[in-house]
Amino acid sequence: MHRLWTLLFGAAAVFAVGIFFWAAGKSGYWFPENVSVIGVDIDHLYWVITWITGITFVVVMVLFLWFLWKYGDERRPGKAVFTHGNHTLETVWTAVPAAILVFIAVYQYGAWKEAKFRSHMPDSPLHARVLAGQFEWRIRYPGPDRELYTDDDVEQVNLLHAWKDQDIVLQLESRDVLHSFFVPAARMKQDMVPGMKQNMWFQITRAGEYEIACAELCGWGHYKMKGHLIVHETKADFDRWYQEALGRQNADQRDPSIWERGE
Amino acid sequence: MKALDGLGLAVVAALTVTGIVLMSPGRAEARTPDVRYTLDPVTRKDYAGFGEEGFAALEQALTAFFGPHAQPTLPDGAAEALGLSPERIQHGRNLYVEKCMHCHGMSGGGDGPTAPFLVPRPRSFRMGKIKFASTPRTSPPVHEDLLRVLQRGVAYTAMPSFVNESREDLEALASYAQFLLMRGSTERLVAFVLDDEGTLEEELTPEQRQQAILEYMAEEFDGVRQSWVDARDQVIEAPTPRPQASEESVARGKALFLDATTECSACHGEDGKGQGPNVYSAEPFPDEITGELRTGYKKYDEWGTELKAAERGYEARPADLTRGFYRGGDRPIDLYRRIHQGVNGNIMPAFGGNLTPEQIWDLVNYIYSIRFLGVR
Ligand SMILES: [Cu+2]
Repeated sequence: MHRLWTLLFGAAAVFAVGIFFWAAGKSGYWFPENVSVIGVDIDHLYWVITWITGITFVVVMVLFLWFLWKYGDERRPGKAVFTHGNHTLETVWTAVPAAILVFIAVYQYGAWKEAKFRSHMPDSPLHARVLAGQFEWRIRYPGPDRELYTDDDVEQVNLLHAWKDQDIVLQLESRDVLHSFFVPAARMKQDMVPGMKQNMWFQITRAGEYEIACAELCGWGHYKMKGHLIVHETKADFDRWYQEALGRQNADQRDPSIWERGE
Repeated sequence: MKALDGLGLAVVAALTVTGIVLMSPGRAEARTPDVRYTLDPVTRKDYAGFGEEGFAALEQALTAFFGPHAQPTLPDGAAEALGLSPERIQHGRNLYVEKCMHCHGMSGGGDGPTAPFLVPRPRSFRMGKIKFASTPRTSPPVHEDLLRVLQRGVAYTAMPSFVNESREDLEALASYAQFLLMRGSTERLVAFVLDDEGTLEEELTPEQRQQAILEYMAEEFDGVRQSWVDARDQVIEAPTPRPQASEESVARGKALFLDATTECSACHGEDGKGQGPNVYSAEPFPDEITGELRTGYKKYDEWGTELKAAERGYEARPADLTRGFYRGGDRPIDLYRRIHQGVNGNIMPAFGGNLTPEQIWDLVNYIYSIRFLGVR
């Protein structure tokens, strides 16, 4: 009967590994395809770490199951022997993970620097200010004069427009609680802390529409705090959209198109 | 040991079954079993004389007229007259139950489970009006007003934007909101007439009483429908474009803002921060509804007044004009309409009758000139 547990735990381990490979091969259950420059490095790091932890997981589970199986045999004669401490073993299992952690820390440094160090923020004008609040993203573009809070600003909710290969520099703020601005397809995520101004920057290499999600549980409506990143093919396309949005925003006699996302 | 093994197996089995049940896709109908539209609490309070029997009769007639919750219908071809399709209303109801109900409530009374925690409160559709519309304040809103709110949300309130939903879904939600608004106003009007005519006190068989209520309902609904149809021709437009925000225009706007006849600053404050002496007091004053001494915003919007709800979230809070956003939208035409017709259901009055379009534009230019003072 005790050996049944071995089978159960074994099944759980096989199930976990199996579901991983199954999901990895199935679209919709995995990360969306990477479309950012920094995403290449981040995906690489992701796989390096996944392989390290994956192999460790398999080795640990095999050992674990082997012990369970061996000592779960109720017909084994004699009493169990208790041992206490083994310096060599303890040194090894402390030193090896420590070495792996140091390796990861050093290995990821370059990507972290690129993605997050202020000194590596591209020298481009601010693209938009993202104000998070329960439960929406208010996105304000400084417009042609490159200054926020002037008459040529456009403000939209949950829609971030940009263009391909642009250095998209964002200023992130929260007006109430913790939020986290997450663009899965760009592999970029940044927490937003009320009272703090954060910056985020990335470059998208393919025109298209990508999801923006809040990645920090921020209240009951957290799940619906979703936006879209719309990447235009060229800056000219973006400018055309901007003029159109500005026109809608400056409507002063009657309503132009009712559709915020354009016709 | 054996018992423990058995227990362990039972736990594993239970977890597996729970997992499978939770992961299996549920059906929308299965998630909303047996719900119904309840009566407006204001009806119950204002017409307590109807008694439970009378309320039940009214509710029954409303269900007969507007359909049960699972199948909302606008009778008498009203849907067609307003360009709404019955399918869209039905689809909107299914979406509403999923996305809106927890704030706006199952019957559209602005009383969902989340509502008590929100300031301001979610809109109740029962009074047949919304705050930010493009129509005169005595008229219902139009379809486009609802579409705009759905897409932009209401800035700095709990009403989020649904801009990334499909157009079909947005049309459906806007259609269903209109259903709730029309149903709400009809309920109020019919309750008033029933009270006025004393119908529920007459000696009638249940069938006769039902018949009588339904007749009033058809009559009142006809008026409601007509007002919604008419509203589509009453959308406020500015006869002239917004002029340049010249120094003179801004100065004229400022003078109007501070003027004793418009009284803008009496509510919005001389600094535009929305805490003028008419609406806000740091000194204790007796509450409008409870009479208890308190400080803060002095007045309530119509929803609070009707419900006699002296609770947070129902106060009339004039806009802080220096924060860079306006709840009713920040386009020039939105501000023009706001000044022209005020905020429906709230204390902001309509100035369209007293001010010329040029004066309204001067005011808009002044308001724009201070709009980022508090955020820059
Ligand atoms: Cu959030």
